Amino acid sequence: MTNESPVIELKNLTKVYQNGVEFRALDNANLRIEKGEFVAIVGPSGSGKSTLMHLIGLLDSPSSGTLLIDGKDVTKMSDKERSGMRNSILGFVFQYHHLLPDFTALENVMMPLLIAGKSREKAKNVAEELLKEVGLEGRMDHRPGELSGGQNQRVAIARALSCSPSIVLGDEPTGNLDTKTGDMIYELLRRLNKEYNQTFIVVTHNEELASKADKIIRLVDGKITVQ
Amino acid sequence: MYELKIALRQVFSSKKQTLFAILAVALAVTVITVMMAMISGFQDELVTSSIENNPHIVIGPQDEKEEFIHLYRYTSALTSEKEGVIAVSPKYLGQAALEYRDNAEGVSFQGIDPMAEESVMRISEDVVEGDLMTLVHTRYGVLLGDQLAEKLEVNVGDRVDVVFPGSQTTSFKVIGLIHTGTSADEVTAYARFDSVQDFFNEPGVASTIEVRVADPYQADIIAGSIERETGLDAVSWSEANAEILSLLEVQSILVNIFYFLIYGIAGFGIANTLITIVAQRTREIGILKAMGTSKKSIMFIFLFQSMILGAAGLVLGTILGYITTIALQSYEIEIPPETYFGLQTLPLEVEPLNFVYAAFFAFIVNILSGIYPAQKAAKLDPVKAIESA
Ligand SMILES: Nc1ncnc2c1ncn2[C@@H]1O[C@H](COP(=O)(O)OP(=O)(O)OP(=O)(O)O)[C@@H](O)[C@H]1O
Ligand SMILES: [Mg+2]
Repeated sequence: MTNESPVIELKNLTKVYQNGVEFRALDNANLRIEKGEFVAIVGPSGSGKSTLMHLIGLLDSPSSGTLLIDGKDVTKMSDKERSGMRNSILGFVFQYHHLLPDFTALENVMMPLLIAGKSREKAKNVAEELLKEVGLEGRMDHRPGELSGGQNQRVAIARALSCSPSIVLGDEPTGNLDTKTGDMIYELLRRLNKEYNQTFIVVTHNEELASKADKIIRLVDGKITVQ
Repeated sequence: MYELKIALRQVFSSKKQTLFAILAVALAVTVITVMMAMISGFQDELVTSSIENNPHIVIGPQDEKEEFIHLYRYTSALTSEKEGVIAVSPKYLGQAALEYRDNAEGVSFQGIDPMAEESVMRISEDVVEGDLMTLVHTRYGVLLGDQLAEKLEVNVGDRVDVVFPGSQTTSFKVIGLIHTGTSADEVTAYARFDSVQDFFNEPGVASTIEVRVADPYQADIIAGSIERETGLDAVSWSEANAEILSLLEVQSILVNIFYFLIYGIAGFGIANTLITIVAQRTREIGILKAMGTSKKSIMFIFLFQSMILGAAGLVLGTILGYITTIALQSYEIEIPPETYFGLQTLPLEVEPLNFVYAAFFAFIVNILSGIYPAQKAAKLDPVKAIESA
């Protein structure tokens, strides 16, 4: 266990925004996250939580520093390799569900599998299985517009999990939901984490939820303090 | 091909943009196919009427200073022996005045051998009153253009005087009227070849020899060989109409520029629609990227959309173009008969190849105009795209 390399490793990772004035949204972040960990990221608004998540999720590129995923330096990869990793290794859940409005719940969950080149049949089986897992077996043919916020968020979680990613990222996945639904979704994430030994990194403002995590990372003004 | 699936879904869910983009392409294709039908119909008609209304070859004196062909019998015989020649007709062309009561008109007084002229020019088709063949046994008979007869106020059966300085004024009986639908109807008078020769005191000469050939497109070659063998001047119909034919070429350049502009407008229409779709779907593009869709695949999604819009537009446009062409064909638009070689209706021609061309270019234009919006979509920054409202 100890000599196994971490799933995610940040070395002096920095993101600077330059809109006339220089702004360090993430400042020299160093961090190791081990396989199967459930990590909570907390910090005040504007502290750089989303910035960090976008960098780890390969949605954004750092200004300097190194990011290793599964031991590979992802900052030097081509668009094709990065989008391949987004598809197969990473699963992202946003604060807002961000489902494709023209597609049904089932089709939304199937989409990453189709992008990966899986057959329709295979994709459908996996997607149905996952939607059952998040408690939506009766709602598969509904479009996002016909589902509640909590239901859509569960579809988004099923979608993030569809390609069996080794890392699942959630940027305030329960932020838009009422406490009861939020707790339920949190429980779901925790259960999936234990069942499949996937690595979870979740941003939350809820200290109580954070306290249940394996590790809490605090961000203040773009700087990390690991607890 | 999930890219195609997404493209189809997005096209069908943005109904208004889709409809307008398809209509833009359809309209362009419609206009172009109808134009093509008109222009190729018009050009064909022009060539056909040049071939039909003019002798395929006209043999004239060697030198412009000379007025007549002296050995016309020999030349006619020689020419009619040539391969590809169907008929020859020597003619005497003179200027004279026709007088009837108080009316007088200047005319082109033409001496013809009715049989020979008929086999070269098929003029009996234009005879609207009387009979061309009456001329064979009527030494002082004349056929007049119908407009000319109207101006002189003469009818078939009346006698007109032919007047020319130095010639004996001779009375001819009107035995028929001719209507070709061209301005020739105002000035033409046909009489027997020998009568006209005698009238002008020039027995034994002809002004021209007209030739009909089996294949009009061989006329140039045959004319050349006549010139070589007889030493006379021989002009084919295409040489005689060279100006019109080169005008057609200039016209087709202009028309192509026009097509190009229409396609350009349609192309900008498509590009504009796609830019709007990309703008509206910015967030979805970001989501697709977050799920692992590569730049290349995003490009494909939008290129597919432009192809779908283009394909639907060109199918609709081709159908509309065909219907419009057929409708215009059956609707006989009267244009002044003198304007174009006696055409009475718009000559539209349904040429399947033209539809293929129009559709093909429309499709190319579509793909080209899809490139910019597709690139724009592919280059979107995923975080900004997702966070855009
Ligand atoms: N594109 C950008 N250009 C300039 N500054 C930016 C940009 N995106 C983010 N920032 C700034 O970077 C800082 C960190 O933003 P980030 O979104 O990571 O905060 P956060 O911790 O997720 O906050 P919240 O809890 O409100 O979501 C903020 O001060 C923000 O204004
Ligand atoms: Mg945030």
